[in-house]
Amino acid sequence: MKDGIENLLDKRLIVVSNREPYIHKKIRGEIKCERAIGGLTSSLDAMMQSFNGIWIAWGSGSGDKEMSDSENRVLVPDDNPRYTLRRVWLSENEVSNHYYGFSNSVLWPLFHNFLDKVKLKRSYWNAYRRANRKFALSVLDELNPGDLIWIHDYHLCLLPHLIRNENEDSEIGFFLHTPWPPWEIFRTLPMRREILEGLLDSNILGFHTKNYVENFMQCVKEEFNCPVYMGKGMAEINGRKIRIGDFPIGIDAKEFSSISSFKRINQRAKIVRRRLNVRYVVFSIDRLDYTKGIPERLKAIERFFEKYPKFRKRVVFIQVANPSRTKVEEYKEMKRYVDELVGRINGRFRDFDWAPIHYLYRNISREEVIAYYLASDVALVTPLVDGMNLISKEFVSTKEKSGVLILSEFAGAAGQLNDAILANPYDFDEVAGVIKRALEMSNREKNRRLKVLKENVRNYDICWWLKKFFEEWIR
Amino acid sequence: MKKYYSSADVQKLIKSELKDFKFVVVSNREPYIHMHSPDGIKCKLPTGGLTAALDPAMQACGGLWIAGGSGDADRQTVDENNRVQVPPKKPKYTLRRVWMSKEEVDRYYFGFSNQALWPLCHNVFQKPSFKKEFWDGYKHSNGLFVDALIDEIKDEKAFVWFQDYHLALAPGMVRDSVGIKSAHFWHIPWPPWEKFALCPWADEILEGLLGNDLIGFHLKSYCVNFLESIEKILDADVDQGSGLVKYGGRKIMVKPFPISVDFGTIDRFAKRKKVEKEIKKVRSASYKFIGVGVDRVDYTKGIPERFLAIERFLEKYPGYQNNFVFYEAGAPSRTMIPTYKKLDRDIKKLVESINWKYQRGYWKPIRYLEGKLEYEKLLALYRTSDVCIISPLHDGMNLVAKEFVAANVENTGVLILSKFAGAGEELKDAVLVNPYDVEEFADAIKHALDMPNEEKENRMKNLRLAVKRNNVYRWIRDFISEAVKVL
Repeated sequence: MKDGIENLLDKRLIVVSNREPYIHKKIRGEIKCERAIGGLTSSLDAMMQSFNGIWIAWGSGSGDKEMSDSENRVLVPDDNPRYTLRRVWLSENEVSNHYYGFSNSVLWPLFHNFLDKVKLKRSYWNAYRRANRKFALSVLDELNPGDLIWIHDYHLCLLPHLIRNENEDSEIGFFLHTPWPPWEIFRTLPMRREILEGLLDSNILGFHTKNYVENFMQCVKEEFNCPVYMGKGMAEINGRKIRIGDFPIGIDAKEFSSISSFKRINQRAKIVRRRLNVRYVVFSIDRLDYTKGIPERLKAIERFFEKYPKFRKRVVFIQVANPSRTKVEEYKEMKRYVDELVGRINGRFRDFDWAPIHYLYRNISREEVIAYYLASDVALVTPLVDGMNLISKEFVSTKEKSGVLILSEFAGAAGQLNDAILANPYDFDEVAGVIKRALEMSNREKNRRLKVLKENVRNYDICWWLKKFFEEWIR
Repeated sequence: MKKYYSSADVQKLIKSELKDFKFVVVSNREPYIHMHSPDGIKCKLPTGGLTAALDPAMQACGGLWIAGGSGDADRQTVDENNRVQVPPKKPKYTLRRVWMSKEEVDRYYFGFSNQALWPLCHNVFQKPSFKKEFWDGYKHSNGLFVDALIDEIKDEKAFVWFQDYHLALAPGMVRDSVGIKSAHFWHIPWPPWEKFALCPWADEILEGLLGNDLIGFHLKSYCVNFLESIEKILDADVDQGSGLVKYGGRKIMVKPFPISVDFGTIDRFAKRKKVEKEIKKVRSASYKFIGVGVDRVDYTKGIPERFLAIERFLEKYPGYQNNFVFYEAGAPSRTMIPTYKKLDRDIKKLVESINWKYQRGYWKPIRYLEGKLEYEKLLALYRTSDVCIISPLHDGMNLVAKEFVAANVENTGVLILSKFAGAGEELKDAVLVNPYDVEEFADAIKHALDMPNEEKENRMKNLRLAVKRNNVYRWIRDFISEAVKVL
């Protein structure tokens, strides 16, 4: 992880994100420390472990308060302390109005072009501002001259401005892990100006793809009527220059390929195969979120069995859905709908010894996920929109040979993974067709495609991403 | 350049510039509908600015209009070639009707046109439904229009003007027929390219439209989105500056032409005695302030948002309770589609709950007038209202805003208009609001009602001048003049 970045980073790093990398949970009177799942926190954690520094995040665990000192700090990982985690406390009201409210019922759907899911309430915006101020106070409290402050994601859009207001010369980087929408979508947000002003007090702003950068630049231009330079990746506002660029995030490809050679995981994969007892296994895993296109995928599977009956009893589709944001009404509704669809499709096609869809509504461990990757012939990854999508990259780096990736053309990753089979998730016939094509693909073609994909994921891995971002920042 | 254009100018232009061509308009909606009634078959003119505006042009040049037959007496009134001469009393041109079965209408009109393309092109609350059978039906019905067109033209030289989103594929289908030049006007917005790309058949739709020689949209920004879609999805050669597209060895022009209303006629009608009588009735209840809104009941129109803003306004500024009445004329539309049915129910429930919360004695804040309003009553409301509120979440142009302005002959009304209506770009003297921002919206209502008379008058005079100058005849003239260049 250190390679190539250490000479860039002679300064102390402060990472700020909403989610914390380590959560202390009280379970039956005992406090346990859990490492957060999710691509972002785990890759940044590896970086922090090599560079020490401070991570500031919302303390969301039931045992977090007890385990933090009077300064709200705790050293992590607890078995081998390498860096400081500083926790920010949010009240219940702030959690429901800042996190579930403005962040996940307004910005999340808006940034994914799902205007129909935006639910704006007055209380949301106030809580969002309050929570951002709390984060700002903690950052300012920890800040030493010369530190680099790296802020992550849509929960903290106001933070760059709040910090710069108090500390003019701060070095602030911001990375947005979601898409950025076209101006015509973004302009509907009543507080759009504050959001943009908040972000534009960064020194550097990063997005996953060129398209998001273009959209963002367009928004800045329309809102402030100020010069933006697409080619140079720069905007100029009130005499300040802000660098704006695309930095497609990668995964720790080495780690994935090494875990996938573990004996116990391969054993597990074999058991999955044996138990399912079919010719082909197709795998999907998503947070249960309306951007992931799960209902559309299920309908495409239904179309597949309708159109190509010879595949009945020969293919099993595994769909893992991780419970997410279960307090938000839209997510509850989505769950009901997915449950119903799975029931309907299984009811329509199943036989006493075969069901077309194996549906798991729960969180599964990383090792289990990798075992499923290994056990599958095809990964079916078809989000309706996705900032990047790391599942596709994980699958590719796990498979040694003959895995086929079907990827939505609307995932950020589609720009890099050209050798996947790309499909439009809204087009059920097309998706049904490409599933058939993937299953019938010759080994030669499978291996050729996989090889190119693996190379891409390996070359543009998480270290490359970090290095590129810091190079651009410190340049 | 002339200051104000009239229907005579349009007639002259078509007669001189298109004299070698047969002038053909193709649209989904027909300009004359025959209906059964207790007194025999009656001929009705549909409402809707477009048909009314193109009719005089057709009468002038005696062309041909091809449209879907929708009246229950339409079949009884055509000849064996499905033709009828219109207007019935004084025939000037030919209307050729295209027949569709209920299944065909379900797939083509209620299906692909209104459940896929309509929500796809408007940036609002509704996910498009891309069903294969809708798409197949859309293709099939576009083919029916094209069959009628080719049957009529044979090998004459013709200039064909396609209207709107129902007929995106027809231009591509007629491309191969010799002697046809065609132009298309798209009456709804064009979305950002990444949204348009969601449509599984995005490339076929674009190629269909590129069968034209000229394509028009209301606004520059729709043109930009359209050109970007062509560039990114079809990899075509596009010049954003001039609007020129090179595709398949042909050149296609893309330009903005903001549509408008027949200012002169509305202005004249609004001054009639009958309208004044209606005004007396409306004002008899002696509430100080009257507001008006007129819409097709559609999820793009922001009707619930408007009512929520009115509620917030009454809550924030209680002094206006018992003093302000808002008339909303909502015309039910596309009710065969479940979303529209639900919206209709939701709106009625919302009106009921707001009225129940505030009503005192005879006073209720919102009067919901369902169905189509008589023309005199509508003009009376336009002329006497203190404020007209038009708050679409997204709208290609919005002609109600321009109608209100044309009918507000005493310069006493204020127009509150959504920033997201195409008309917002021309009508700068309206009070512009973000309909999603309930606080700003509520304050705008207060601002409009409290505005000094002098300011109201100044703003309305400017608005009226803008609509008078840029009236519908100017729109037709500009479009035809541009089309002539590509003939």
